Amino acid sequence: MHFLTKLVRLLKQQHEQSKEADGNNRSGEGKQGEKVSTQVLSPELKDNLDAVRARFGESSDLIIREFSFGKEKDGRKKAALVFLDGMVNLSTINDDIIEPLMRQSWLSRRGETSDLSGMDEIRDRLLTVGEVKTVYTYNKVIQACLSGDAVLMTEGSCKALDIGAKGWEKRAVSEPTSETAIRGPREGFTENLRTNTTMIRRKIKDPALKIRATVIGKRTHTQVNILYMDGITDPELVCEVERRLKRIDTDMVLASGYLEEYIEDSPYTAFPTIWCSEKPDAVAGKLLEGRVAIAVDGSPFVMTVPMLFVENFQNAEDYITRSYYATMMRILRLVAFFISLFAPAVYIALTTFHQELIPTTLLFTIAASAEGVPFPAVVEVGIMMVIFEILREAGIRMPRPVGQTISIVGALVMGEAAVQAGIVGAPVVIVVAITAVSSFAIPFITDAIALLRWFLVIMAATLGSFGITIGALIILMHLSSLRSFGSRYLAPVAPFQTADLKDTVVRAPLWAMRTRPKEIKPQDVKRENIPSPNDPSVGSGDKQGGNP
Amino acid sequence: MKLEKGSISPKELMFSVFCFMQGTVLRSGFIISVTRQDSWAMAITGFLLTLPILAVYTGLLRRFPGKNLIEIDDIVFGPVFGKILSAFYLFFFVSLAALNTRDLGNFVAGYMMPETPIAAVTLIFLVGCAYTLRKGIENLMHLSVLFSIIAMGALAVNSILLLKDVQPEFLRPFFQLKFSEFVQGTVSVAAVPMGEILAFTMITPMLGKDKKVGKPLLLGLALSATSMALVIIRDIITLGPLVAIVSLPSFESMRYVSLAGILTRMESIYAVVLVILFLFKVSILLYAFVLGLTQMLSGKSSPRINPDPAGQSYEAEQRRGRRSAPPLVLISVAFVFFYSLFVFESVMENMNWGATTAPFFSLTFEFLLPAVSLLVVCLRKIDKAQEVRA
Amino acid sequence: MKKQAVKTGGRVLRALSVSFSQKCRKGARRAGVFLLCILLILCLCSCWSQRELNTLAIVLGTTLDVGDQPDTLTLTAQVVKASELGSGTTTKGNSSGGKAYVNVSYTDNSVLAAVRELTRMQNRRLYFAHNEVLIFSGELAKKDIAEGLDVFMRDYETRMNVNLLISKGKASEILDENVELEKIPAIHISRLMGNQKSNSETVVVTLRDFAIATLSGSSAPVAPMVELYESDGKKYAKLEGTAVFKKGKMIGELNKEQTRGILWVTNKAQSGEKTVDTPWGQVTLEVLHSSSDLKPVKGEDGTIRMKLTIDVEGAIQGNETTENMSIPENVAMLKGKMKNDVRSDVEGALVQARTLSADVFGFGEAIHREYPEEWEKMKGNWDQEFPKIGMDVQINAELSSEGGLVKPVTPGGAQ
Repeated sequence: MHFLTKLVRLLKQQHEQSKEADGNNRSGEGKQGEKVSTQVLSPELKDNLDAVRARFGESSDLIIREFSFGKEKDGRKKAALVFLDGMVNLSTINDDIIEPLMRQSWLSRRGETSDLSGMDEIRDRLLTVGEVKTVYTYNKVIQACLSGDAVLMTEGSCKALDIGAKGWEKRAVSEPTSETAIRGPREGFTENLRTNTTMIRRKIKDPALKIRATVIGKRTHTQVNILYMDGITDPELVCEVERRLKRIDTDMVLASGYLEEYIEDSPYTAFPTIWCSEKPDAVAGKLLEGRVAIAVDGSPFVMTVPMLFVENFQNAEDYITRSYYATMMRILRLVAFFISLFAPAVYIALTTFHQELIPTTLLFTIAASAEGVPFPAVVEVGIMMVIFEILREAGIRMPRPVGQTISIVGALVMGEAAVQAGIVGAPVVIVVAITAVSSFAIPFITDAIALLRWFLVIMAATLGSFGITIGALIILMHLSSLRSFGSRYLAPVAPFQTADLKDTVVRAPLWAMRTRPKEIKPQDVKRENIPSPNDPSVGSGDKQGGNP
Repeated sequence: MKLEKGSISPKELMFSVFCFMQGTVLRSGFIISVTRQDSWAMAITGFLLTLPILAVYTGLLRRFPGKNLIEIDDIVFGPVFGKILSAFYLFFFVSLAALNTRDLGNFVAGYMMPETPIAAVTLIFLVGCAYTLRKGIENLMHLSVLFSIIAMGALAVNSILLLKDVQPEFLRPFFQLKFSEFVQGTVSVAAVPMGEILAFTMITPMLGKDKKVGKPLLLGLALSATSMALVIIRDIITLGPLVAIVSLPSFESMRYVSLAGILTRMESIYAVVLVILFLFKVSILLYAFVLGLTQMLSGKSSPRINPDPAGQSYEAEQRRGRRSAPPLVLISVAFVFFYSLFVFESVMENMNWGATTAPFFSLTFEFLLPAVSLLVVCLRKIDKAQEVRA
Repeated sequence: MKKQAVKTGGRVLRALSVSFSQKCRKGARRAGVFLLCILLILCLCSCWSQRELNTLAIVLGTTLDVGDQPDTLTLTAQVVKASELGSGTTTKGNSSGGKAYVNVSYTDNSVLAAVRELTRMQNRRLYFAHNEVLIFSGELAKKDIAEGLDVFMRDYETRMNVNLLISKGKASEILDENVELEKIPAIHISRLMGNQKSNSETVVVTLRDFAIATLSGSSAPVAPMVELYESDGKKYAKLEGTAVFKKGKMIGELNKEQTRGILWVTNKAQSGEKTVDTPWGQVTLEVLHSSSDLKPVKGEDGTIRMKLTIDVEGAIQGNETTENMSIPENVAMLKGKMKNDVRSDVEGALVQARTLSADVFGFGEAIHREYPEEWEKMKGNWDQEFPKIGMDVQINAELSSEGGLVKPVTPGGAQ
């Protein structure tokens, strides 16, 4: 009965803690102690271990190492080290915890007069581990185990030591696969939160880079860090991000995408309103522009907010290549965006409504290929678009060697054969192919475009270019009404902000980008005094606020 | 986060005026048939004639900062008479919206899709307008700079492509007008496209109280007048005497573009730009109507529909942002839809009305009523102090 | 105690689901209604103006002839057979080497009636948006050209940059000419018109130009003429001369030289060749650039004369003589010859225009622009006034280059 009561208490306490939904362990610490006094550790080691065992049940990865240390006979003291197998670094456990306790205490005993039984003494004098905290409650003990620490409990003490011995298998820092760099840094984020924040910290060696921690997910207890530049980022923005994160009421956060859905402004839009990247340099650049970054444990993507529409067309490489070339690439991406959004719709409108707009000679070519085709243009385009989407999905999901086979079968066999057999016209295949290729030039909004393309195709099939215009206006209005953490999504185009156009279609030279984007309301609009290269008075060796 | 009050900038207001005008400017046929090769001058004299009208608006708006036309009516004439006057304005706005919708319907159904019934075209068009209103007129006005760039760009591209076909002699002889024609042309330009900025008196409160209203309106109008003159000159030197007999001179001159057999038939650009600009114009007129209607029905000066959710959090937006007056928007749009269907039987009737009655019809609302209001304000010496008491 | 735990859990769950469904239901309903509206509207208006490419008969050329019944006309439309044109379908190999076009024609009271009647004979709709040439037969042009003009300008599908031509003989036969380099006669003719810059012997007139001239009242519209000639039993089309119109009817013709005269006066001549006779033989000069300026001038007595200034820049293109044409005396002589040649073109055209009493040069418009008051007086009887208008021609000729040879290729020229 005693055991059962304890269990229920534990459960209840756990439940209440999650109801607070704060996830901030430090702030919750004091309150719990006051509220439920019974859940503090008991002096009986056995009781404590039983409680822990009960909590974990039959979990096979729970390891409780019981041992004793201290004076040979009378001073011998029972102790137990509790940790989860696989989450700890065994060499730390062996060499830095158990070894000093069992050996060094034995040796050092001679000259000493003090009693080693005190937990503080153990912590202060024996443990050669960097991070040690004293804990008093079961809850903390459990938490510590779950986050990969080892917990040392001794007979007769109501305290336990939470010893940082985290060490699990993790992926090494490697080159990101989603964003490849030609000249830029090649390291990418990993699944490990601390590694990720460290990578950013290494880019921005400034105490103004603040990292706030929080825990989200009732079951997953996922660590989430909020990064921002003190003095640059709008403090209200930071508060807003924290507020929205705090409001999240879910049991699992397995990747950054889970959070994204909970904190974005417009849940029904097709466009991304939260930016994310796998590259620390890109995120560091965003931070220095005054944005807030959100790093989630277990996800190699770090999100930044607020996001503007133009960020879809920006790329970390832009800031490393020459500005002319970068500008050309920006224009190309914009063209690719329009092609991939409008090409099928425009093709349908032209061939079924506005044949007069096609140059005469081209019209003959198209007409010749439409001669033997049994379907109306819209059906042809529809078939090809569906086939393309299937091919794309199949190519991504299958293992890479199979994926290549699929693309060969799809592209060569189906495209060529369909035209040969007269099921679709060659121009349709060309249009859909151009659309597909273009949509890959702007990877960030490929998904949004794939959806909206269908909308425009339907508008074009029913109302021709008038339909396309109205459809495009509806999309434009939608974009214009979108907000991302208080920033207007289409800025600096709508509302028009001349000063911020320097990093949209054109990518001005870095020394000319003296101000941060106004739309995200940075506290400090001016970047550091970046000397222009032809300004003789100042050396240009300063590190520039890289802006990806 | 903070709720921004003055959610549009003077620059945006200026370009909004430009976009608003451009829709009609591109359809300049209605005066060219009267004043022929001198029509470009009408754009300028018409603009000059609009200045006193503009002065009346600014005078009114300056005396009641942060108030729109309907609210000013209530203050100046009291709740009953003010409401009646407001009803006139609302009738004017809704008529203009219907007329413009009909114009666009005629254009699309006539040139782009001859077999499509006009009702289908106007319906889809008005769905676009309704969506715009639901998303907030501010967001449309934010886009005004972009639209202006598109409009000017299209104009420039088309004009450059026409360069090899133009004959500047067509402009001469200068000023071969009868006085009556001159007056008719000037008044038409002043009343039909330019005076319609009356609708903006419903929008200016968005600027915020401390901003000057007159300057952006004036600059916008000047810009429109310039571009109108340029368009008309371009049409005249491309089409010569033909300009007076075709129904849409700009459209016809763009149909003439032919460069190397590839860059031909640029009228599609014109059509797209025209649809964009008409949507802009009708949305603003509809907004003026819906806002006025809401204020009249609610009986007090309620906040504008759809406050800009900029800076509001997602939650706040959920709570109050979308709770604007959507039923009124839909009802108004439906009303405009039917109104536009029945307003004219044919294009000919429309053209005839535009050339003869429209200026007087418009001037009544654009000049007479506001001027009377201003006069009453001056005579009764209603100023800010009294307004506060009221 | 267990129960309590379950209860609290349940409450949380319920609260969760409520807040979720509330949020979702509202938005989903709104989105659903919106989508439904759009879908319904689209269903309503689907396919009204839609026309698939393989239901269209793309017309490239149109001719109008006088019909066999009184007050009728015959419309002939040249329709492309896209599959025969075949650049896109070479792989299919079905271009059987037949004609790439079909000519369809019908005779009725009006153009539109004929087009409508044709739909009863053709499974495809005639589509005029790509019409490139419009040919009136001379016979019809002499009767009335206005009806055809009005239809082709009023309709939204047709365009004003169609080339307008007048045929000698039946117009429909022009579209049956043998074409060798192109596949379609209409395209042949339209490209032919584009090529006329290099010889400056044909007026290139679009529907717009013709309409502008017609509208002006004083000017006489002109249009190029096309005729068939036979060679090896095959008929080919070629451009020959200019038709002159007045009051909507064709009243006369200009020959090649007179046409060139018009082009000089109206500043449309661009380049061309002139062969001049010298005491030693013929020399061919090429006109590289030319520009002209026509201005009315009021004399002291109040009469108005036209002042024409022509600047010609040429080059020696061919020398059949053995004489060195590069020496200054000979250059001066060639300049003089060139001037005379141009002058005779212009005067020939002027004489013919006066005979026809047709203001093909746009004198009336020029006077209207420069002297509106005088024009008001002259406007009434312009037919009588026009032949009386004098013209002063001033020609500035320049020979700027002599081609790749300094001296002619003469036998023994090296010594």
